[in-house]
Amino acid sequence: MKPATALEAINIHKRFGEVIALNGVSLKVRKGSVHALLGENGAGKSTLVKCLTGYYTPDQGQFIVADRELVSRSPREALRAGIGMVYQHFTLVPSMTVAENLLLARSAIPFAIGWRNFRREMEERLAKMPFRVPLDARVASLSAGQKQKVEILKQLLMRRTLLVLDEPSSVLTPQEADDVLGALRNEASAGNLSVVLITHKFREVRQFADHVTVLRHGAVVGDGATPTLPNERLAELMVGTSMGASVSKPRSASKTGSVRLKIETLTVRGANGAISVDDASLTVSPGEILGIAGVSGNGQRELIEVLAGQRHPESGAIAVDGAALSSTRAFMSQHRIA
Amino acid sequence: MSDIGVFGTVMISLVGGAIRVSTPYLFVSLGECITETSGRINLGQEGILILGAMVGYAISFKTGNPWAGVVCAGLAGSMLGALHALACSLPRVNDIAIGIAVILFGTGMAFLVGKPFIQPAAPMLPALDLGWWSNSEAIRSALRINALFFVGVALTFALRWGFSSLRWGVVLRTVGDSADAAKALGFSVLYVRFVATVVGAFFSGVGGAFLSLYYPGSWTESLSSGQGLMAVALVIFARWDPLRCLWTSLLFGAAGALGPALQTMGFGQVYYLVSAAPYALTLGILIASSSRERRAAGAPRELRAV
Repeated sequence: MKPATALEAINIHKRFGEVIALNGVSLKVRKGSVHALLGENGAGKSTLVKCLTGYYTPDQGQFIVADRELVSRSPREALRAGIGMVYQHFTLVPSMTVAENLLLARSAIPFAIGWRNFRREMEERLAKMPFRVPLDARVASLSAGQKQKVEILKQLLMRRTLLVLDEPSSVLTPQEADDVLGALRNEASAGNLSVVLITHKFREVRQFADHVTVLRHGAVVGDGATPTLPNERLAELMVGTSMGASVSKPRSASKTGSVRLKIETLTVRGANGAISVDDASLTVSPGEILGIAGVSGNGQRELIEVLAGQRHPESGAIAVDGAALSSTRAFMSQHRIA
Repeated sequence: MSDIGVFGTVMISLVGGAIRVSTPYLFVSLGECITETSGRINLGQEGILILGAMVGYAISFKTGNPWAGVVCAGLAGSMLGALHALACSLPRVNDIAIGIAVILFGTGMAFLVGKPFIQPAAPMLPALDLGWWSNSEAIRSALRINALFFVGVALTFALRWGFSSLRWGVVLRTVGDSADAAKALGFSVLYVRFVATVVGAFFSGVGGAFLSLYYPGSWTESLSSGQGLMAVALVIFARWDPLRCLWTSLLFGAAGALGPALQTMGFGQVYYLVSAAPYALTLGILIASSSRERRAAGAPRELRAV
């Protein structure tokens, strides 16, 4: 028996003026599978998905969803066909609670909302979901990973059968991404769901995808079950040539024992009043380049604002060459800070 | 009168005055609360208030029915609100600049059309006599409360409930908080903001009718003296919560009633100084609620000006 197809794209063409974004793309997503869509920026991944979800109208070609042709003229029609899109940038309403956001996702919001009944229904259905979120928390107070979970729950609660995830790991830590993708992987294996995963991370393809389609310059350049396509081959398909592994020398740490910048037990509140830098300490020596890593929204901005004198810390000390930091012009020119 | 003393008399006339003076603040601030919750500022409320006062007075004079005046004042306000909303719907148009234009336009229209109505006396809105049980004239006059005030209080609770538990309330907050999310959910941001601005302007127009049809109770060109703008500031202090709009309106009303209350007690010499109380309060509130480091809590995120 031939495995059922959740989505089929046939010869999709889309151009924007002179630029050909999609040049005859065809692919098949098997039901109950995780299908990775791999490609560099500008390869046409997002355009393909936007055609599918009704934001763009393809110039030529058709989509077949659950054995029926999808004439996607608007996002609403795509939603009705059971296609749920989880965006790279969240489409949650930040100052509302999780419950309110889940309500908004309903296709029909009743004129008067019976909160008690709605909540009971949500709790019952959430109990069957692969992960939990606090219903009464405001979305603005959630971490990026939790927000992504709410986005996905929103789609699952609406009984979407085909989920499109647009680079979920760009806003998630690796652990969060594993958590979320693992849960969806299980849902798909159970046959409840088919997933199209837009990504450019090989690790995620290896770990979670059954099938990969590689796009380059708007065309399909590679397609196959994940095990048949090793990473080197995927990289080659993505960029068009084989890449020599680039080697960079690790920088040697500066040997001087002196300290140029010293931050001790710094705690800073962000614009929403929540603690965004919690008890952070670090030192920078002369000649050293310090990298601050983290998914955006984890306190980098607030830390820099404090260093630039735009924000006052709750507690902690910052010293430059042993003198307490002050953002006056005199201090800055004396210590030669830019 | 003697049994409650001078202080008691001042307090009672202050409470009565607060309720009287607060009513236009209440209507404008509730209207502005709706508009700002949708993510748009309408500074034009001042012009809408003045036009509403003029239209309310003129219609009451022509028809003999003050309530017809109130409704027409609201409709005139809506039309001005629609003008603001349409102009703001155009790309790269600034809410604040259009708002100032609406103030000037509304005021100018009211002065132009309202000239013939400065002299005649129009029928006034009725008041409910809640002080019938007392034989003190001070208490009786303080508790003679205008019917519109109760409409405003009912509206406060209706809005508070509607924002959280009715479809339009949730949609309104969505649009005001994240236009991107609203679009992704399939709501029309411009349409929701248009309706919010028009409805908000209706309430401001009604607030204007109160000025000309109850207190001070005549149509003059200096009727509003900036109350529409103060009500816009009040909404920021009230954190976009209708119930807090009510309390803050009463506070502004008390500040506005302080001068007349002292004057009736014979402290006439400080009248002009105390008359500045609402303006000083506005200034104080704006300074106290501004922060370089913290975004106003509860502010609709699409309101970039706050």
